Amino acid sequence: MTILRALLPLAGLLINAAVQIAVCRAGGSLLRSIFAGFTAGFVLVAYFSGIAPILTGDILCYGAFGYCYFHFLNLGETARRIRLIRELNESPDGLTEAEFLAKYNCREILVVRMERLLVNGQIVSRNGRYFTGKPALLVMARMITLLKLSVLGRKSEFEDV
Amino acid sequence: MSTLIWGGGSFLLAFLLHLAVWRIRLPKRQTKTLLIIMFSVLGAALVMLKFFGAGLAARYGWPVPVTVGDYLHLTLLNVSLILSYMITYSALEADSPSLVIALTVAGAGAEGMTEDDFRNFVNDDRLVKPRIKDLVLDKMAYLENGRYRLTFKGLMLARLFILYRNLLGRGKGG
Repeated sequence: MTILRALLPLAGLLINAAVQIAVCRAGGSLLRSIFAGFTAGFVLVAYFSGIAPILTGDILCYGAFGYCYFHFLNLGETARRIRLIRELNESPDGLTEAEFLAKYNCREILVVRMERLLVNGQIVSRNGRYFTGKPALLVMARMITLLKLSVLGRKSEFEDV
Repeated sequence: MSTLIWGGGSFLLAFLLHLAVWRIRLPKRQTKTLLIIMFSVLGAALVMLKFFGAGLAARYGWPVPVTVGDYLHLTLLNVSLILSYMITYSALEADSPSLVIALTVAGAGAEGMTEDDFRNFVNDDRLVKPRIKDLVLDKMAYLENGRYRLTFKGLMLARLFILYRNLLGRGKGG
């Protein structure tokens, strides 16, 4: 295999990112842009791999890089640690814990997430009470809990091993 | 085929090794330890293939990488799997607020729950303060005279995300 040929999954990732950025900047939703980017990269990888044994390795590698890219975008969108370092970056004199909490706190975290979950139908509101909506997020939450138990031996970071 | 066998196989071996180490004792800096384990196994597999690959192919007929491209392809597959696992692992280390909300609402059953019920378990001690401590633990920030400041690593990460979010035309996030 040539070096250039080996780099095909990375080329797929570059196309993925380029298309995703273009669609997002053109006004598409973040989720739609992620799907569009992933599909474009996938088509490129599948086309140049052809029907050959190497296709499986290429698709697996591209899929894994695509998964990483999706999570990189998701980190920028939802990760608390990334938000905290952004707040620090905007404060040349640094921040005390109280100043941190004045800029970013549990109320904001709750409001943003509740809104996102309601809009996506993951939870529904009836008569001022919240219920489970579409089960996708709940299934994911249960899978993550299962993984936590298998790898860390606990369900939550606040639970002692 | 050698890419799948050796790239995927060495990842699987590293994963099992990580599970074994975690069973003995949970490392203080989990991400760093995980990276050391994963990349050490990859390095060992590459060295082993370089020196014993031809022998394995001749003796057992196993597919082994031959060209520099083969080695690169194998390494890329392994690194992509390592990065995927690292990213998934970060979701295991810290409780995601969205997943906690989903599980809590499901736990309330047919009764459902009010927003006030949420406030009983959602507080800064659980959602924000542990993440501030993580910044120091992961050397992205340091504490000096009661004030948190970014380290070079934290600064680079902040700038990367600011650049990318600006490129996408999106806000602060979080």
